[in-house]
Amino acid sequence: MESKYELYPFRFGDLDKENLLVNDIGDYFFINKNTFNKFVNKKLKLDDKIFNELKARGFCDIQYNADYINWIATRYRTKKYFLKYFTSLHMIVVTLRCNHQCNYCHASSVSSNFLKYNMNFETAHKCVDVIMHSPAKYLKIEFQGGEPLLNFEIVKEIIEYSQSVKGDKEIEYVICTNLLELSRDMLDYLKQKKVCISTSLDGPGIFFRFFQQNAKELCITSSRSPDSCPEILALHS
Amino acid sequence: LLDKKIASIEAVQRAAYELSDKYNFDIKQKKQISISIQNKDNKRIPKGLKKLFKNRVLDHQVRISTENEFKNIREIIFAQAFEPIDNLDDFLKNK
Repeated sequence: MESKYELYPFRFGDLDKENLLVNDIGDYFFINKNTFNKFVNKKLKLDDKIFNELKARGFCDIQYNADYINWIATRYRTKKYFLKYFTSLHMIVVTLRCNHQCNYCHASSVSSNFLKYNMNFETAHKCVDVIMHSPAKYLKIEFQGGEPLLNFEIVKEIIEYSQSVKGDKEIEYVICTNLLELSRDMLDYLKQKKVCISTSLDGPGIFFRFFQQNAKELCITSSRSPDSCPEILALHS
Repeated sequence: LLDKKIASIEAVQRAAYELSDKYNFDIKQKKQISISIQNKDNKRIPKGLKKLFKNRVLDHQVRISTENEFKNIREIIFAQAFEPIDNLDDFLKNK
């Protein structure tokens, strides 16, 4: 098969026995130096496995053609989306308090008794004002903690206030919660405002207790197993 | 001495700059490119330096060649990402 093809933009780094190829769309490929020399000198055969792997990652094609360029351009646009629209995802930590102390949790948390770690109304309004400065038309506000349900009044305030000042922006809301404090009223409100619920279901009780076994304090007995939150699952479905 | 057909003066300059923390380079360009190297601390030039330098020149030459080759297509990709045109195939044919 004739070896004629075009190279697409990449940079490469020298890693002793191999070269690392990277490109603007974030793809990469490790290639041994002999093969690299063949590649840049366009000596690879078109049915060569390496050629096709490189092609799949945006490094080369048989010729310059619109479909391939558009594919790369789309990926590039997606990767650089933030340049045109700036930040669209905003996370608000409405409280550092949490009613669990799961040993796998990445979030900062303090005991649920420490009310001073709740966000107040003034700060909540300022957060929303800053978010509204984003040129992005589509925004996402994610409520984080601690456990955001422990400061649900602020969650509601942020939703109401952001809706009142959003103009022509569209806002999606997500609440990351362990569900423990979720009441019927809260659930109704979240449903009414189309707030997505993000949670982790730790599986049956045995797993939940395993995750909790290194807890720093005694936690309220609860299980976030699928069986224990049928209403959430019903909503989800 | 380096043959200009193998390496450009730019590749030689880039390679020299890379090693310029330890060595002084005197580069002249006539029919061939001549390079003389001096150790900054007046010690003898290490045995493998000539080979290392040639490899660095070749490495930079590949980078320069590919950069030149990519220049147009990179601009087309960037333009297509943010201000796409419909008849790109026709545009490519005329390039």
